[in-house]
Amino acid sequence: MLKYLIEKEFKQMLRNPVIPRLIVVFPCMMMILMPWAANLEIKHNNVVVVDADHSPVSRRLVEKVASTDYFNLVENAPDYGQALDCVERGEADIILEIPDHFEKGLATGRPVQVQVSANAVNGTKGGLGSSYLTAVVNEFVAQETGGGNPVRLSVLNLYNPHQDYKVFMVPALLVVMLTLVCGFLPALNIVGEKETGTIEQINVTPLGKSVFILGKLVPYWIVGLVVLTIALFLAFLLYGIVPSGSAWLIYFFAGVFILTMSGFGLLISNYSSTMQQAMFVMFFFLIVFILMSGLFTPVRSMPEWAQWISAFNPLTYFIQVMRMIFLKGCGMADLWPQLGKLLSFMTVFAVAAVWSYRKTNG
Amino acid sequence: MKQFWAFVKIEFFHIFRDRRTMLILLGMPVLQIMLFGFAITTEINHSRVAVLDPSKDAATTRITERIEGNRFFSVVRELVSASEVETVFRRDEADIVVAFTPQFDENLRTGEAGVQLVVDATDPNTGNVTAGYMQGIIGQALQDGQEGNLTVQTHLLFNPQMKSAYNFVPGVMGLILMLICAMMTAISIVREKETGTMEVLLVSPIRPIFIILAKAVPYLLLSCVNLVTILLLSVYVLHVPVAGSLWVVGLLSLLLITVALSLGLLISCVVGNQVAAMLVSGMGLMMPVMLLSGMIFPVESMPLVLQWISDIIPARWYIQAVRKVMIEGLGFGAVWREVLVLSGMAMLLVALSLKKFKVRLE
Amino acid sequence: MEPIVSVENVSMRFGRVQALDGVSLEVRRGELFGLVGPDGAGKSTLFRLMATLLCPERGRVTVDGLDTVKDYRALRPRLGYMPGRFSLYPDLTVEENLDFYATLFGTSVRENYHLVEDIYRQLEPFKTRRAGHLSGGMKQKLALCCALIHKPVVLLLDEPTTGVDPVSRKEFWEMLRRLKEEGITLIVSTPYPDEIRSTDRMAFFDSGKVRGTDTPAVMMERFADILCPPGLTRKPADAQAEHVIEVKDLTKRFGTFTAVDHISFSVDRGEIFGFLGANGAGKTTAMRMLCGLSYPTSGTGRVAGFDINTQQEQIKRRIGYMSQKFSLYDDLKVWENIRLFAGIYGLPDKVIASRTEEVLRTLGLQAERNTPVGSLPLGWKQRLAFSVATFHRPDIVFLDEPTGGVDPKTRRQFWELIYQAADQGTTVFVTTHYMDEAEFCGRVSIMVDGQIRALDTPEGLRRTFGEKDMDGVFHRLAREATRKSD
Repeated sequence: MLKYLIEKEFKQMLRNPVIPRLIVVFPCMMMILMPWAANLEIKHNNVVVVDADHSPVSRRLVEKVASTDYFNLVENAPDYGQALDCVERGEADIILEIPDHFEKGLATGRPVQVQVSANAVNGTKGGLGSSYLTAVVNEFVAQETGGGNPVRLSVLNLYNPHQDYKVFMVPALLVVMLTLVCGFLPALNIVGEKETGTIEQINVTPLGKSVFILGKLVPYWIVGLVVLTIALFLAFLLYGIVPSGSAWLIYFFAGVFILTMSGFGLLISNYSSTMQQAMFVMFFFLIVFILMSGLFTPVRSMPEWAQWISAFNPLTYFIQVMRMIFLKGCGMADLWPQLGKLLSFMTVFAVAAVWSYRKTNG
Repeated sequence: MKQFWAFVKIEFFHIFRDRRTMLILLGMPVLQIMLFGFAITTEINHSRVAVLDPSKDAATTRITERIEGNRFFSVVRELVSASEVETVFRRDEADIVVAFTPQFDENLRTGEAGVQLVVDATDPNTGNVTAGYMQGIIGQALQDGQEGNLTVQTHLLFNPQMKSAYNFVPGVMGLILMLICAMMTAISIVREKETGTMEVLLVSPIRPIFIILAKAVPYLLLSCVNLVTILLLSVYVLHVPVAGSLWVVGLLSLLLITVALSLGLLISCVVGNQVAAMLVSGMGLMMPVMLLSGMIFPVESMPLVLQWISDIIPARWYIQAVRKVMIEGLGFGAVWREVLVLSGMAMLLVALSLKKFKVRLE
Repeated sequence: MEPIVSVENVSMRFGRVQALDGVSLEVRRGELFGLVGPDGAGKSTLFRLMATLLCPERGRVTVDGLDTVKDYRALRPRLGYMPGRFSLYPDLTVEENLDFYATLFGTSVRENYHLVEDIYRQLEPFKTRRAGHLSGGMKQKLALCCALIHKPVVLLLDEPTTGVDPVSRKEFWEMLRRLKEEGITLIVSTPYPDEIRSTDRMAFFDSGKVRGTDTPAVMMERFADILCPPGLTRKPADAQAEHVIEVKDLTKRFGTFTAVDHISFSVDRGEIFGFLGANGAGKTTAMRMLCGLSYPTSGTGRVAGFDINTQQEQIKRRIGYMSQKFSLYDDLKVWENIRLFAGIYGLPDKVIASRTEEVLRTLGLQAERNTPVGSLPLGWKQRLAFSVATFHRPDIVFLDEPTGGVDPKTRRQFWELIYQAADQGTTVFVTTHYMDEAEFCGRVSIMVDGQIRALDTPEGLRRTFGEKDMDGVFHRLAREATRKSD
């Protein structure tokens, strides 16, 4: 029986004017555009300098700041007011103000105060920029006064030595892509049959509930794996990103995850009476799922209540798995806890989808 | 005119009677503000530190205490050998390892003491920020005993507490207005086409322009309600003040609403059914607004091509302008460029959509 | 008399389909004009042309002296139009729908209440119910009211009475006649012979061409093979005293509203059982309980030997069902639909293949096996749906208004299929609004207000009530309906 249902779902899917295109275009768009756009990296901090000292030392400081990769010297402003204008116009992000007795102060040992003012509308950018600039100034002064800092401080970046943001985002984007495709399409499916009335014809046949739901799940499972394949291929082609762990492991986890999401989609579809409703309800959950998954920002930075929500979010675990396999090269041994959780989500959603489907109504 | 109001009335009935959809339309801004305001922080909190300290002398203890005392960090583990470093990261038990060289205190005077910071750079941004903060803390701890005549005073403009909410609130406003106005207008017009009521409406004495306006009014009001909700929440719950003029924010919002409504109308002219309308507005509006408007990801970090694309996204100009007015407290003079761009887009889209609106069936 | 609507040599083509081919037509002012013809003949396209919703490819359409292309703005306020698939706003109540349309047409319900009173009275008990929750026939009645609430110069009605019970249809035509007396020109399309006879003049359409225009009397004779085919005769089947359906005190309540009220009856094996009743009498609700699609509130019953309260899934194995809302998959081809449902019933591939050929041959659809079902004419869809419902040789087949909206000839073809199935021993349980079809049944029950008021052979019913045909019997009983508000 299952054979006929799956056959039917595939034919319908392929004849739909939108879905086949969606399956191909969507991963391409996501993989071509998203890794470039989804970038929280902070680059190009533009500095405006107010140098009241005009001494060789102050000029050397400015040169030092400009020579770092991190800062971009855009302008010299005569006073703080005009420098602030610069920030307000969006031309600069950070102001470095050097007092007029800077050189003399350093030479004589009298207290000198350098002021760093950063635009902190984007808190991270402002905070990081100002602390970097402070460090640069401190280091400069230490060199000038000959004191020197006796401690060698070095940083080692593990797993992503070039600090490429794309390497971080691509595995997570794969997850988002699977979530959207395998969440929305099933959510619209059963409710669509309700709207056209064909569900009635199915309900009056002896078809079993679990067979019916399985007949809906399997096609999306295959579609999901196709989408994943296209995206993995693009990731390699465009960015040269290949998983440092096993690709089979990725497919295995993706298989479990797709069933979880499509089960959830079907569950919503069962409870909705119109496609519009199903769409909005799904949309609501997906926003929560995606934002609370640690996709952009680490789950640990969230307040405790939010971390609880994350704990009940299948995406959280799948994103962890993908990043661990892709970047850290983890094997099955490291992934048991995530597998257990994903399997429980899958079981709960699939059982709920079967249970909530009603062949005989009140 | 009576016809017009009767029309507005039924459109309201339609919104209010689908409880789930209405709840989502009104609840979505609340949810997003709460999530973005509290849960999605780009700040780094609760970073877990593992310390590898073979010397355990006064200096290292002092530094470790300093780290422990910082609100961003908590020391979760003490490692005994360098081989443990890799395991700690693979099991995801720490975000940063602080490794001291042996006989640290003794070597401090000779300049041979060293500290290495090992960070999990899977997420380059978090890695960077964590390492940056840590460097600052250790640097200060080391300088503690020494005399210094230089102070760097840091000033965080506009957002002294570095809250990410300051950055997100204008973004959420842009997203919600865009989504509700454009998507809902498109769906509600397409629904009339799909059910066939459009045929009767077109033949009835009501002028087509009134059909369009009547569709727009309820969603206009709904977006105003949402706008007020967002502003109230952001001021009283997130404590993000409206620094500039509320009138300018209102004007900007009205401009964006006009743009969004005409976009919705345009979408309804080109698509035939509700699902297509949802997919087009979902893919064509949601994604670009979330990704390319600078709402989450800074536009200036994107490659040039994407920056050009983001130039044609109305929400980008809106968000930029609202940030200036609401957060930086600038006046109308600072945003005239954005106002000009938005007005241009509005005029173009209104003209285009009125021209495209079909007074007959295809 | 001057023509108010003139169609001059109009042609229309949609892709490969030539919808209208050189059509010319004149309708006189104040006339009640009928458009008649098989499904897909181009009637709806012509309606849309007259309603200014389409521009003709060739030719010209003028209404009330105004060109439908150039002067559409001036023309629209003078038109009234009810599309074939007239849609209500499902989330508005009955009352709000009527109110909205009245306002839209620049009038008010109070001003024109007399125009719709006869039909609206039946809806009044349900006026606070949402239109989306009404039964199919009730929706159609509300749509009629919404279309008739104003007084345009020309009123265009595209198959307004499909799915409406005979009593209401009669009332509806009374209303049309009243509008005509007020000087309104009416153009109506319909598949019902009795309605065709009520028009002043009619045009007969076939494959996009007008085959003739004249008074109905003349036309009915000229196109007798399609419009009034000879009746069917069938020897009464050998009565097998085995009850395949047996129901006692079956009741269904929705909240305080009792849709089905203690009905009891039984149906014998091989019988054709007609289940009649006005719109909203509870036919579909009762049928859904018998099919295991909904739980009875109280009462007992057995279908094909299984209990309707507890053994729904076993029942579903033994029955076939064809619903009011045509429900095969539009985007699947003819053979794919057959294969899908046959597969669901667990037939092996070989049987499916051979029986598919057989069915396609019987239906004459061999050439259409690869056509998506959505693009078949309605009459063909209905016959295909019937064949799909009986493909697995069920004990009983339930048909809910299977022949709505098609011409008499096509309906006759459908009934030939029913007879074939019955001859093979399948019990047929059918609802219909066509009283000529009721005459084809072995026994007939008539439901009024959720209860069965009469149950006998058609002949027996005629005798009991002293009427000359089933139409008379039905009117007699249905007029007693007093259903009050839920």
